[in-house]
Amino acid sequence: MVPQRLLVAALLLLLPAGATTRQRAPDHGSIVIILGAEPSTPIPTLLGSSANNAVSELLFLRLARPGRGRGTTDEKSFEPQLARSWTRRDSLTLVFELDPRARWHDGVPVTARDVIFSFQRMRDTLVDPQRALLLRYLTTVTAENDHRVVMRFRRAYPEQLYDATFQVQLLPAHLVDTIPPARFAGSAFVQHPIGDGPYRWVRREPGRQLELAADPGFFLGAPKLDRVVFLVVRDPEAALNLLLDGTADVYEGLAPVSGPVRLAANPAIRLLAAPSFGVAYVLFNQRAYGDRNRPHSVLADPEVRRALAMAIDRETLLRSAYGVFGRPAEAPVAQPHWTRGMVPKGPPYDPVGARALLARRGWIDRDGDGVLDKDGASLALRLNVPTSSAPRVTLAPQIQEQFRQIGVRVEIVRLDFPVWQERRTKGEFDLDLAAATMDPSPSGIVQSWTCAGRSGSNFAQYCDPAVDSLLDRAIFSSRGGEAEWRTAYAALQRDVPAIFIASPAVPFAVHSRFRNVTLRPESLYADLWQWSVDPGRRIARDR
Amino acid sequence: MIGSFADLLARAWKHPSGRWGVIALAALALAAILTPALLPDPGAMPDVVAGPTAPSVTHPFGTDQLNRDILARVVNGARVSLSVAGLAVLLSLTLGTCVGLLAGYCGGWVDAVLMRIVDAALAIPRLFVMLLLLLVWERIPLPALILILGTTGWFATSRLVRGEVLRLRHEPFVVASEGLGARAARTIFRHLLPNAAGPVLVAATLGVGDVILLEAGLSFLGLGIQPPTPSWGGMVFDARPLIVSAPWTALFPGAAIVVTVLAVNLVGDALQAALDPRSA
Amino acid sequence: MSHWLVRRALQAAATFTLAILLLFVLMRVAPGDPLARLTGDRAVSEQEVARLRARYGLDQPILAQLRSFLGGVARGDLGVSIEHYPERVTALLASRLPATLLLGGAVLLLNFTLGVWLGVRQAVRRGSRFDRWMTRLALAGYATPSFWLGLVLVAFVSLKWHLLPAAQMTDPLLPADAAAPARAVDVVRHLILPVLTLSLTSIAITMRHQRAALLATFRLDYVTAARARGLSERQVLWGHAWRTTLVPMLTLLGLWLPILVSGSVFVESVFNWPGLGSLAAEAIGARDYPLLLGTAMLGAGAVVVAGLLADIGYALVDPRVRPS
Repeated sequence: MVPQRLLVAALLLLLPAGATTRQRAPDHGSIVIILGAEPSTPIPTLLGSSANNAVSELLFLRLARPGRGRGTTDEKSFEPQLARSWTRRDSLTLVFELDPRARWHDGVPVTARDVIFSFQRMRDTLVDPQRALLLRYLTTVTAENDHRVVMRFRRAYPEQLYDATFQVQLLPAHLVDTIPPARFAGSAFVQHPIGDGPYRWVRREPGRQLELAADPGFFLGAPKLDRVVFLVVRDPEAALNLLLDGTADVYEGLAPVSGPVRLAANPAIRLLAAPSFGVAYVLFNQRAYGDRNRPHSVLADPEVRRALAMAIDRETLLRSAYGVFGRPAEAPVAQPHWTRGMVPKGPPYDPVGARALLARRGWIDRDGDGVLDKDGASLALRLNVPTSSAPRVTLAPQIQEQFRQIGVRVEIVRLDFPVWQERRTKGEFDLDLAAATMDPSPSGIVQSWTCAGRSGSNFAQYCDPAVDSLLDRAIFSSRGGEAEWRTAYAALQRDVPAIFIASPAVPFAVHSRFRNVTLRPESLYADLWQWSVDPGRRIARDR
Repeated sequence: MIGSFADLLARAWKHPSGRWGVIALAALALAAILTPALLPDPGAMPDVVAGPTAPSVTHPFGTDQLNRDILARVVNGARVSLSVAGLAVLLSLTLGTCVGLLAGYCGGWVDAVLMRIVDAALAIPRLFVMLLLLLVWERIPLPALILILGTTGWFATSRLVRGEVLRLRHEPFVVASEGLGARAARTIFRHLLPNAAGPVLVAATLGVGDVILLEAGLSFLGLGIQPPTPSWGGMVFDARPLIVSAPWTALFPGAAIVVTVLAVNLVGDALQAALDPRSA
Repeated sequence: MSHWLVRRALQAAATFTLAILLLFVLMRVAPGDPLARLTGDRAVSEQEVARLRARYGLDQPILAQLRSFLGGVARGDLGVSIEHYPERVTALLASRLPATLLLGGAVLLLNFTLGVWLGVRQAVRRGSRFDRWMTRLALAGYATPSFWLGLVLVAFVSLKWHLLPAAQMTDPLLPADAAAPARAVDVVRHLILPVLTLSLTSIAITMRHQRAALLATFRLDYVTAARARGLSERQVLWGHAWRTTLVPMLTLLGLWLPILVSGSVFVESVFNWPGLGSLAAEAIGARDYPLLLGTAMLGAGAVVVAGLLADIGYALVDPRVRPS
């Protein structure tokens, strides 16, 4: 019944369509990157997500950026970006010389006016209150001429240069200053942004993909890859399939233990351990479950918290949840932080000691049911876990088992991400299996671990004025600050506000034809413009 | 009237596909009840190093990525799947029959209001409702899963029962019974319900198949039965990375779903055929 | 007839309104903070959270939210998406609708060609080995979970044999200015696996119904009469018998559509198909209430309209059903 010719035509349609790509110059290539969420507003000052940041890093530059692994306080190690150089007039004044070659993608030069406008916009508490807080010591930003900017601070501290450069990506004043902040998100500029970075905006197909093209005139050197496509793939399974069938080149959402096994299906994919500022920990609620006015009946006692921390065998947890990507953490400090060497060792793994310590605090198994009790109440705690995180879902039952060994009963509460988030903001947890992406500066610790953070992301309401003042001293130390950081971390550890488990690396899957793949912890794609394709290993879409 | 119901079952049994379906279901149920005692404990001895092994004499269905016996897990999964589906359908059947009887018997505005609600509920994709409800639960205990599957599955049954009641109300024997002054309860339980039982039974059988598929799909999404309780959908989910290198890990739980749903549908078909010989 | 039609349409409208209310209630009793994804693990001040809440009207009491939502629906405005701020829900739905229509259309097309054709063949050769095997295959097809089928298809066809792409609707590197035939070929290659995964169940249903419907008409007098008039078997089959089954078959749409809507949520996510199903899945995950309501309303609306059309179709062929 079906005409044969139709069948043949249908079969021809199925043949791979490869003849559509255009001829390109020899040094070029394309890259397809999978993002787990939609980069709908990849513009500075609008709400950032990791997907938005991945794109905006390629479009919008900063004045300078911290050098690799050298710290946020070491002014000499910073790398120039839009600013060619900087000097210090005194301990409160920084002077920046803008690179005269820097241009917006519409050809207009980047000038001091853009710097002044961007800082003013960024410090508007209505635009980004968090950023405004980070820039609170900056008093004025003024121009001495088109390419010289002077920044004055009200206080001398080692991270002035970091705050003046890393916190603000520049926006083109000539295009944006007429748009009021409230209407910015819906403006035409957001639909088709004009940046100053190595890549230019090409188009975005909502829900599907976003495409950038190399800016051949980029003042720091022409990018080697001329086409960057970001694919929006929410389902991890679909993302993995796209990586395996060769549609995509890069994926950073691989599950650290089960993911690497599956990559065997495509030997062309290489797996790297990308440095990350993420830290995973079990947070102790200092206040009663869902009631911030009363202290927690069990966890308010620092000795109990210490005993619980001693019951955790971190090495086993790391291996099973993070595989080869696991790195231990002892404080809210991640592997790439320059202060990581200043963190003393936390409580050792010692279940016997933990039990003894609990017994000293009155927690003894009096009724012989295997669970410790005191004044008739048993030591039972609820552990909130977001189901969206594969490593944390793996960690939960093991933590439960390790606590059971010392007579502490843990009930695992698996929650959908939005519910988990809601519970922690309301303080509805005893133990919270959390993972936070820290600020690249160690001073970011104040957001979640000081009294001041209690109205923000300090969900456990942990507050110790002594620790606060030690942290303050470390952050504003005039000499290096190493000793001060050491003292502050030790004081924090004595309080055991959480059991710090891991500062894991990110499993970063990338096609092996790319060379010079360097990954920065603060933004994995910041150096993308220097990646290139091995000339002998070009595939159809690189030509 | 009960006699005709027994008659219906007998006719369905004579239908060849019905017999196969019943035999297959009985075998599954028997296996689910008896064999867990004879087979190795499905949760025992997880051993990552040994990895999946191919079907052999000791492990007829092979072993999974944690070296657990797949046969034992499939059989245990049958236990869970069949009991969840059975209970959920029983619940939705009861709810649907009650609402259908109420609407059909009372008529008028009761009927109009109930049927509008049923229509509206039918218009909302079931998966939507289930996803929302399941996300609410923190650990999704088995009773909650059954409750959700049951309470979202009765809408179609209620329409069916209502239709049957409307049809039967004007049959001479019902009219006669009411004319003789029979109370409403008597009319409902002696005349309406037994005569509506056939179509309802068919719908219920087919419903069991749907619920098994739905439960497997939800477990596949991680929202149904929670590990370590074995579920067919969850087993297929776990087998994803191995599907090419160790196909048996996904094949057998998948086949278990197909066989069960198939058997249930065969029985449903046979009942349908027995009820309405012309449709065969 | 027109009186009946008006009443039936009013009924459909009432059903739809009720469905919206049910959805709204269901959604708001579900816990979870819709702002969670926006703020993520970033430190956010209370002031900022309050500002965001006000932006989406989440600081209002539920009844006020419902009132403003219904008011918006009446004006054809479904509000602003939370996850995709500042895009409007209507714009998002419109941008995702074509992909879903393409996928759903392809599934229906396959249904009405392959499913109908197989069902007709079965009826014609009733009792033959072909008929028996097709019946078994249809049953097996109905019993196969679509997630399992999709998994197997992708694992072998895409990842092992490299015949078709594993996901997506288009090749991400296909130039925007590519010629129409190249684009069509690209989309068709991406379409095959999701369509197969999604249509197996409904093809099985179509086959069975087509077979039964056609067998029923064979017994009718006018088919016998047509045969007696000496028309060819083919003319009798397609020209007379099959045409009678057309309307009842079309009414199957009311049966498929809910399956299709639910199935597309799963299949579109697994194949990263940029349609309404994956949008709905995303909205559920993010508790993006306005977007979730929008997608669910569209799904419910489609089901209600299909039911209405099915009833009208029935009424056209069989006037007796009208009064019910």
